[in-house]
Amino acid sequence: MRKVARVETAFEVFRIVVGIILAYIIAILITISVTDTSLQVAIRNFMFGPFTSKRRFGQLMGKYIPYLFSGCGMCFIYACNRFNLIGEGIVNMSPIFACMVMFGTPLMTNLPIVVNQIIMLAVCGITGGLLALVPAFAREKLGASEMVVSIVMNNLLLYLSQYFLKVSVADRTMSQLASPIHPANMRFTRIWPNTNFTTAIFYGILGVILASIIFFYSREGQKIRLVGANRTFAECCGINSTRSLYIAQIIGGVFAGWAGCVDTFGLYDRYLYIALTNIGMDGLIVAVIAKKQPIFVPLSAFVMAMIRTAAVTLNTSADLPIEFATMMQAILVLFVAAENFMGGWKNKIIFGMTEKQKAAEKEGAAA
Amino acid sequence: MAKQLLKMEGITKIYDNGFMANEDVTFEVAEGEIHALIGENGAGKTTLMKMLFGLEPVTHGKIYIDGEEAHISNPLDAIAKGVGMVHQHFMQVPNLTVTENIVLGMEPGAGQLFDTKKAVEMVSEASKKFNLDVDPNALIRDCSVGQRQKVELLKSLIRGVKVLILDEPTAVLTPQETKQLFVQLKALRDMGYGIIFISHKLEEVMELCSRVTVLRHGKVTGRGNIEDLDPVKMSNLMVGRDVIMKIDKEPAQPTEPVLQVRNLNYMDDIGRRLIKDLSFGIRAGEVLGIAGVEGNGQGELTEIITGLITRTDGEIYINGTETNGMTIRQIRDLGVAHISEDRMTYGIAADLSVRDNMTAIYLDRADFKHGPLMNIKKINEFVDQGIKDFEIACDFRNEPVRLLSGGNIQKVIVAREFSFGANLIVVNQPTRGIDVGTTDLIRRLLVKYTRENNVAVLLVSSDLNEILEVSDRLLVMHEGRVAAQFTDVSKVTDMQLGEYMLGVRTMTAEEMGDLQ
Ligand SMILES: Nc1ncnc2c1ncn2[C@@H]1O[C@H](COP(=O)(O)OP(=O)(O)OP(=O)(O)O)[C@@H](O)[C@H]1O
Ligand SMILES: [Mg+2]
Repeated sequence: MRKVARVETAFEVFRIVVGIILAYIIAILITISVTDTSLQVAIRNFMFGPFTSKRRFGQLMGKYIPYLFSGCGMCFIYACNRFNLIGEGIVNMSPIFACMVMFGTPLMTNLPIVVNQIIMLAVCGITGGLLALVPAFAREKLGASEMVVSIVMNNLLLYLSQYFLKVSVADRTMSQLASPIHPANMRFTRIWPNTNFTTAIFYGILGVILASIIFFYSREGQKIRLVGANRTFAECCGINSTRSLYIAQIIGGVFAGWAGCVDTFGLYDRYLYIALTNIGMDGLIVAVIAKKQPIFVPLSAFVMAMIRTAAVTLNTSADLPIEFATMMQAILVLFVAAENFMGGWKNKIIFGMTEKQKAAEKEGAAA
Repeated sequence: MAKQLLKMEGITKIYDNGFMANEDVTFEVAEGEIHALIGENGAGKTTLMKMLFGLEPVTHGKIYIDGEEAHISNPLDAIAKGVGMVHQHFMQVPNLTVTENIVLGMEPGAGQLFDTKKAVEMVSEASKKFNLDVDPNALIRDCSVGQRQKVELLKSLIRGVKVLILDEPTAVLTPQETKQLFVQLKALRDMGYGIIFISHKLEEVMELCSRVTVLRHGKVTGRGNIEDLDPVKMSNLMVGRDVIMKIDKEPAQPTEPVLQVRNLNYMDDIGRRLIKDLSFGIRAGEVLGIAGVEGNGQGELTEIITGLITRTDGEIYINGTETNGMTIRQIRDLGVAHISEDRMTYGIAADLSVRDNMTAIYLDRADFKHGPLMNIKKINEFVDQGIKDFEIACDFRNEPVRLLSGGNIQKVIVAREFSFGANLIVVNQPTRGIDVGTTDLIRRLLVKYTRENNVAVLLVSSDLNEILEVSDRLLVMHEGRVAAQFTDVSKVTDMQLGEYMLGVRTMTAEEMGDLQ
C-alpha cells in the first residue's frame, strides 16, 4: 500500500524531536524565570555545556555509558510487555559480588586488565540475570505483578548490598561504608585523566551491538518480539511464550548487571553506593524513547544523559533542584508516548495520498 | 412521504492505514421504515455504521439527525442523539444478569446504590412494551444468542433511541429465531422506529425491508424501493458479476487416512457440552467440508485438532500419532497447518512486519537458522517469494502487517501456513470478510493442494457457496454431532443442507455411511 509506513516513521521521529526541543525550551524558560540566570547562560549550560570542556563531556559520558546497557536491557523486557524494574536493584547488588571476587579471592590479582574487566562483567551479568529471574518467576509462575515485586525487591537489594559489603570486603578505614580502592588492573581506566570518560565506552558499544544482534537477528530475539506483539499468536505458531518471557527478563537483568559494573568500576574508585542510582529506572525511559529497539538506544541514551547532566549543572550553578531532570524526562516521554499528537496532521497526509491515488485510478480508468 | 430521521451525506471514510472503506456514500432512513444496507464482505457496511454510531470518525461528509447536522463523537453521544446499534459481535458481560447488562451505565436508584428491584421492573416493563420477552434475572451466559440479541435491542430502546442499527443480526440465528426477530422488528417499525438492517441474505431483505441501499467497494452502486428490485438485480449491484465462483476440479482420489477423530467430547469451562461423541476422518487428497450454523461445535473442533484448546476426552490421530497431551508446536510438527477464524488474534501480530509474520513458524527449521541466529538471507528470499507467489500487495517486506488490507493480511497467513509442506490443513472461515480475489485464490489453493500434493483439508465454513464449491465430502454438524454426510457434494442443495443444519432432520448411521 502507498508509502504509509514511511509517513508513520517520519512522524514518529518528528514527534521525538519536537519532544526534545520542547523539553529544552520549557526547561530554559523555567530556569531564567525562577533564577537570575540570563538566557544566554541558560542555553549555554543546557545545550552546549557538556561540549565546553573535557571534564563536562566526561560527566556526560559517565551517565551515558550505563544508560547504554540499562536501556538495551529494558528494550527486551519492555518489548514483551513486562515491567520488570529489577534493573535498579541489580545495579546496586551485582558489583558487590564482583568486589567479593576482587578483594576476597586472589583470582584477579595478577591478571591483565582486559581479562579482569571481562571477569567483572561476567560476575555482574550473571548476578543480574539471576536476580531478574525472581520477579519473572513471580509473574510467569505465580501470577504476581512483576512491577510490584521488582520495586519491593529494589529496596531490599539496596539494603542487602550494604549488608553484604559490610560483612565481606568493606574498607574498615573509611568512615563511610565503602569497598577498598579498585586496583588499577581491576577497573575501567579513564581515557582522559580526571574525567568520567572511561574505556567502558568500548564495552558499551559492544553491548549495543550485541543487544541489536540478539534483538533483530537471533531466533530467541525474534520469538521475544513475537510474544510481545501478540502472545496468543506466538503460541499458535508453536512458540513457548513463557520461555521467551523468561529469556527476555534474564537478558534485561544481565544488561542491568553490566550497567552496574561499568558505573561502579568506571566512574568511582570504590564501591560507594548508599542509595538507589536511578540507572535502572532511567533505562526504561531510554527504552521507551528508543521505541524498544536497541539500535536506537545510543541516541536515546544520549538524550537522557544530556538531560541528567544539565540538571546537575543547573543544580550547582543555578541552584535548581536536581528533580528538574525528572520533569524534562516526563515531557519527553509524554511526547514519545502520545501517539495521537499531530495524529490529525499525519492522517491528513495519509488521506491525501489515498485520495490522490483514487483520483489517479479514475483518470487511468477514464483514459 | 414519511419523516426523514437520519441522513448521511457524501460520507467518505479513510482508515489510518490509508484504506478507503467508504467513498461519497449517501444514505438515509425515514420514520417507520426498515432500510436494508447490503453489500459483499468488505464492502464497507460496518464501517458506515460505525461512523453513525460514533465508533469511527468521519473523514469527509455530513450526518443529519432530524434535519440537523450532528457530530457524533462516541457511542454514548450517538445514543443521546437517538441512534442505537446491535453489533455483529455483541458486547456483553457474561456474568451479569440481563437487567444488569441493560441498565449498565444508567443504573436507577439514589446515589451510587444500585436499585435492583427498580431496574428489574424497568426492564420487564420495556420488555412488555416492545414485545421483546427476556428474563430480567437470567445470567447473560445462560442466554441463547437470540435472547442476547433482544437484550441488545432493549439496551438501545430503553435509552430512547429512534434509529436502530442491526449489523448482520441473522447471521447467528436459527430460522425460527430469525422469524421471531422479524416479527419484532416489524412491530418496532410500526411504532415509528427507523431500522437499518444489514444482511447478506437477499431473501431476508425482500421479506423485511422497504428500501435498499447497495454498497460495493465502499461506493453506493444502487438504491431503491424493494418493489422495484429482485434478488438477481440486487446481487448484480452487489458484485457486478456472477455470484457463484466455479472451480473446476477433478474428482478426489482419497488415499490413506490423515486425520482420525474417535468419540471426541468437549465441554467448555461453564459446562456446556459443545462436542458430543464425534467420530470422523479425513484422507489424503480430499477436502472435507463441515457445514453448520455457527456455534454448533465446529470452531471448537478445529481448535482441539490444532491444540489450541484441550479436549475433554476421545481420540485424535494425525498421521497415525495420537495427539493427546501434545503442545501446539508438537502438533504442528506432525504436519498441521491452521488458518483460524479470528485472524487478528490467532493469525498475526499486527505491529510486526510482513516478514516477521510470515516466518513466525519457521524459526526453528534447519534451513532458516544459523545456530542461534536466523538465516536472514534465506528468510528474506522466502518472504519475497511468498509475496510474489501469493500476490501480497505491500510496499516492502518490513512493512507492518496492520497497514495491509484484510485480504492481504489473510494472504500473509496463507503464505505462511501453506508453505511448509503440511499434509493436514485445518481452515476455519478462511474467506470471511475478504475480497473476492483473495477468496477465489484461497479456495483454488485448497483444492489444488489436495490434488497435487496429496494434502488433507478440513474446511469449516458458514458460507454455503464455499462449502459446496470446495468440498469433496461434506459433513453437517448440529449441536456437537454429525447430522449428515454427503459424499457427492454436487447433488446437495442449500435447502437440504439447511434442514440438517437446523436439526430438522438427522441422517441415520446407515444413511451417513462410513465417516472415515
Ligand atoms: N480499522 C481498520 N483499519 C483499516 N481497514 C479496515 C479497518 N476496519 C475495516 N477495514 C477494512 O475496510 C473494509 C470494509 O470493512 P467493513 O467491516 O466495513 O465491511 P463490511 O461490509 O461490514 O463486511 P462484512 O460483510 O464482512 O461485515 C474491509 O476491507 C476492511 O478490511
Ligand atoms: Mg460488517
